[in-house]
Amino acid sequence: MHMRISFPTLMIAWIAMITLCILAACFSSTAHAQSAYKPLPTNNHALLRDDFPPGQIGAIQLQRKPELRGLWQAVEIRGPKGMRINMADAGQFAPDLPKDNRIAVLVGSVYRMRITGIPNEPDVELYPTLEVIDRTHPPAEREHRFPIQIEIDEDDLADAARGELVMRVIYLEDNQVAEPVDTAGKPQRVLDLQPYQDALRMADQLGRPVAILRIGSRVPNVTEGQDWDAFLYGCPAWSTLKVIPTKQQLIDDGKWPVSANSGSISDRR
Amino acid sequence: MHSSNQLLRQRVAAGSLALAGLFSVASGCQSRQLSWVGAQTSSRPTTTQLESAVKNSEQPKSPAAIAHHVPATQPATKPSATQDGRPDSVQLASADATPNSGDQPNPTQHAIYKAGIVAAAASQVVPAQYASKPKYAPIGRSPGSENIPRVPMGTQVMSMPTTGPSSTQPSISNASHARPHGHSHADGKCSCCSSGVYKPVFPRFSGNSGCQTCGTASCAGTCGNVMIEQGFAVPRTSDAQEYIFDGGDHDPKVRLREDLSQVGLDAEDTVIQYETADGKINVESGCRVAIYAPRFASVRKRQSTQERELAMRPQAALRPDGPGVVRDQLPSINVSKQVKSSNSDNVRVVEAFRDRRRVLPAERVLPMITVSDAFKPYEDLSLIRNGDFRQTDLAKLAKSAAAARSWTNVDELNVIIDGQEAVDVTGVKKAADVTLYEFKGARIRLCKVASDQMANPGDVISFTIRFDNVGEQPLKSLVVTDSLAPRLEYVEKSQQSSVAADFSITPNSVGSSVLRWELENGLKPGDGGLVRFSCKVR
Repeated sequence: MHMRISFPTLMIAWIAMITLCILAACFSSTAHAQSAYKPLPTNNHALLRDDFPPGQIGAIQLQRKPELRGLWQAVEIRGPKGMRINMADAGQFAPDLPKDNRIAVLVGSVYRMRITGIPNEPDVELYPTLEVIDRTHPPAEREHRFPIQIEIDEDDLADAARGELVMRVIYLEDNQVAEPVDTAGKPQRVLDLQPYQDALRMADQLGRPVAILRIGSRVPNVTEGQDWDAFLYGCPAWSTLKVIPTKQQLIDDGKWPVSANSGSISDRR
Repeated sequence: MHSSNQLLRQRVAAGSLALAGLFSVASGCQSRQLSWVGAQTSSRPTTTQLESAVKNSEQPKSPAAIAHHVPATQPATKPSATQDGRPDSVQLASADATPNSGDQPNPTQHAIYKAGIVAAAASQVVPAQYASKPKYAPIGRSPGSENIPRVPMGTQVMSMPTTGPSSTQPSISNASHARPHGHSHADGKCSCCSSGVYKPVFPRFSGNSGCQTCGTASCAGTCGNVMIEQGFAVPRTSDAQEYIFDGGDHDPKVRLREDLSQVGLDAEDTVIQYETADGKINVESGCRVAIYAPRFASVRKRQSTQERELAMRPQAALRPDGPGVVRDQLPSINVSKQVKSSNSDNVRVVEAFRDRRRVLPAERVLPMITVSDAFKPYEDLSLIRNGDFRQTDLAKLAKSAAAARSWTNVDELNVIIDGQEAVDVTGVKKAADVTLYEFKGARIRLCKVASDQMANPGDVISFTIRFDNVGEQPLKSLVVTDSLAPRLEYVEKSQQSSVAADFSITPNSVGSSVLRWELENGLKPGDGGLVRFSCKVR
């Protein structure tokens, strides 16, 4: 005797199986879609931070951009009137820089300098470090005319002499979205940050960071030996740049030619 | 009954098989995922291997400590595993290098060893200048650091990416460690170039006379990578952020509304709008000038020791570990793309095919009396003076302008018949072919030049815009519009125009100005004019 299964039972069984299959297919496709369109993690953080010790950012930059190795970059250090700058050279501090404080340094190196002649603090010496982490691309033979401008104001010196660490990250503005303010003959535009903010990241958002200046109040207690060499960061090479007068200076000095390329086209013919 | 039960079992079994088959088809992704997981787990060491690895390994090492491990002194160990069971890649690399360890490791071992050094660099503070200083290269080992290698900092920092035969990694030899300066020619080979850790950044190179740094001729052909003087090996690049551009027409292109107002006029755009004889209103753009004018600013953070600790305390807790995202500052497409003609310049209608040289009326050769002074030095172009474009102007324009459009060739034919200029079809000299064309199109040419190619803040730069009707129709309702870049400030009352025009200034969206010249009269075919203005670089 054959045991018959009623038709409704079979129908219910088949419907249940088909429903399970559909649910399984939907679940698998949903899971696959979620894995394919999973958003990127949002907890990214920058590789470089401003709390790195001097030299590390430059070293990483040299590893990332090999073309920066051995590259000379013109910088100009400006400060309040009377400030004197001595660059570390061959285990000691060199004489005062020329008037315009315009030198060529190696990208990626850390330069120790001594600052004297601080306004209202005649006996105070500060030893900031300068780290150039990127380059500019001026026209050939015009590198001296477009140095990276590193500006130290009186507030920086006063704060550093008081014991604070002042960090300035100099960045190159994007000219296409630059602030439409006139900066000719005025102090460099500075954005003051809070202590919890990353100066390097902020500079990266505003432009392209090219140099880091750190001014502290530490003074060396030795003048020779390994600690002294470490304090001077190995005294990397630097050189002064020849002072080339501007057009206005030549005009003021009466050296600007007044007849060249002047007159009408007809006269020149 | 038995048979009915058997039939029921068969039906149930068949249903189960069908259900299982449907599941397997429907959940293919999960199956693949499971197989992927299986493949992943299969690469893991087995429990036995893990146990043996734990037994053989001395102690679990941190990545930094592993990176410091010397391949030559490391005992032969099997791949160890961390606590979560995953094999440590650095440790595996060291284990792979162990069989070849010795006094003269092979390049593979060196590469692995170097990878460990790079991994260690993340946790080790090594100023670049220390690495480049030979006196800081480790010569001896401090007590208790037998397993810590003498990191060849010169190799780490000064090594250059090379190509060709010079791409072989310098091997780490005891001789190079003992002499960090690396200049040993006892074997007639320059170690600084081939195997030493010291690599001069600027090796002096003079033909076949050898490495002048070492003074030997034996390394003339063996120096490989370092014999390429880096100043010449690296091409001179550029960065658009350092330039001020003016001219051209950025995307979105300038379009006209029904009331003839312009939309899409971005900063730096310079366009001319005109109406043809048949009522069409078109907008054309011209070339673009680039002025090197970098401007620097800074962000400042001052903090005392107490402030720093308070500020860094929560931040250090929230800061994630591991590598982050590195954003390369690549030059924008404005300078990275090749300057060549685009398709839109080439697919013009028949007008692009019939470039020709017109005759020059005598009054156009002379300076335009409506423009004060004479032509300025930077305007010493035939195109600017009289609208006659010559090939000699190309070099000057390319030097001062980012050529946004291709300048087509011109041909020679100077004929006037009844005051109407004849035309010559380039490349087709048969008179019969000339009659095939109906020259009724409208076309205008716009060119912009600047007085200087580099400027500092405070400098004043003069711009000249030359426009010419190079089509066959008289044009009317011409409007020249220039939206200045944010770093350009228009100098008051500096504009001049060679034709009668109404000048107006309106601010643009980036804080600068939009200069607008509405020409009172139209331009006949062959006529042109120029406007000139000055800007101060902010």
